[in-house]
Formats: sequence, structure tokens, C-alpha cells
Amino acid sequence: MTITFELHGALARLFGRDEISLTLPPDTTLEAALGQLAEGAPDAWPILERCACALEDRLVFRSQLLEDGMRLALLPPVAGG
Amino acid sequence: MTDACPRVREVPLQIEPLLAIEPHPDCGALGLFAGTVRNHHGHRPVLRLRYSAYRPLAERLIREIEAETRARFGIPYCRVEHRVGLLEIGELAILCVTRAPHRAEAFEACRHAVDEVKHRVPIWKEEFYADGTSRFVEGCCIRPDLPRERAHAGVRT
Repeated sequence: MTITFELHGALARLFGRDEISLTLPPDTTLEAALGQLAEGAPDAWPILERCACALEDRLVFRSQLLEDGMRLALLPPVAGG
Repeated sequence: MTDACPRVREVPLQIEPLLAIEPHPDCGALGLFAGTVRNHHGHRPVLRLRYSAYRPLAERLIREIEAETRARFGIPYCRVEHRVGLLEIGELAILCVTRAPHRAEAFEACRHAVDEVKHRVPIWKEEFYADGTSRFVEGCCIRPDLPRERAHAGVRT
């Protein structure tokens, strides 16, 4: 299956793009998908660990099972105001 | 203006339209906080900022914070708007308006709503410096599966 992460804030700068797609086996959790994302970019792990993840307007846990075609937003620590 | 009005805006924020929303004859206090772009971060001069947001969640959370603030302080009105895009020094970045029967609740509710938006809403601030570099400001982790004290460790807001 394929899922897409939208990259926001400092994460987009770190990866040099706004989104990234991963091919994953069925029943992969968000935690495992993030692990795969970090394999190609070990420098990104400290910030990935501090990222929240959203499906549309809801935050999801690391235990979330992913489904083919999902689009998830990775949200680094926030600094509005 | 209705609740359908966006809380995250690409156009310059305006104070006056927010003051005109909904008459509240029972309220003797109107609290207003306006956050503007500062020309420095510590000792480092800042030329401008860029705010960006993840809108689907930002819009929902700002409305939730408004509702929580109204309930917590027992006030009838709270509205927050946040700007995104490239902002010059002095431009309005965030507005919060509260209305309350008395000034104490209006001040406290305003402060509470702004603090919550800074700590919980997916908005990011990139500072641009005179040497041509830029940096994203360190912020608050909003992972739902981390305790808040760990998520906020070492964060200055």
C-alpha cells in the first residue's frame, strides 16, 4: 500500500519537499511508517519523534493502523502567536 | 460576521471588525490582545516572519479554544484570529477579543486563549535574519500520546 505524509514547518525544510510517499506492507502502524521514513533521513528522527500526526482535522496516535491511499500531516512542534 | 469566518487568514488582520461583532449589553469589559511582529529574537535582529499552518486542524482547534475559554471564564464572547504568510515588522500576527461583565475575566480569558493557541494550534513561525538565513522557532510538541509536561520541556514561549 502507499501512504503520503504532508511535511510542515521545519520538517519540509529538512526533507526539501512538501510531501513524501511511502510504500508499506498492509497493517503498518504510524509508528512503523515513521521508522521507515527516518531510515532514509536519520537526521530527521529527533524532530519526527516530536511530531504530531493528523488525519484531516484529527490527531492520531502512533498505534494508528494505516490504510492504502491515506494522507497524513506531520506536525512539528508548534509556535504560533 | 458568523462562526464560519476563518480563524486563520492570509490577509492582514483587522481589529475594528472584531470589535463590532455581536452586541453584548450585559458586558462592561472588552479584552483585546494584539500580537505583532517583533524586530528581534533575543539579541538577533529579525527582518520579517513567515507563519504557516495546517489549516484543517488549526481552524477546529481555535474554535475549540474559544469555546473552552467561554466556558471556563463564564463569558459570552471570545474570538481569535491568526495570520499566515509573510509578515513585516509591526504587522498583526494574532488577535484575541473577549467580552465579559467585568474586566478581570476579560483580561484573564484573553490571556488564556492566546496561551492555548500558542501551545496547541499547528502554526509555525520562520524568522528571517539580516544575514540572509532563516530559522523555524522552537515550539511546543502537540503529540497526543506524550504527557504535556514532557512535550513542553525546555520550550520558551
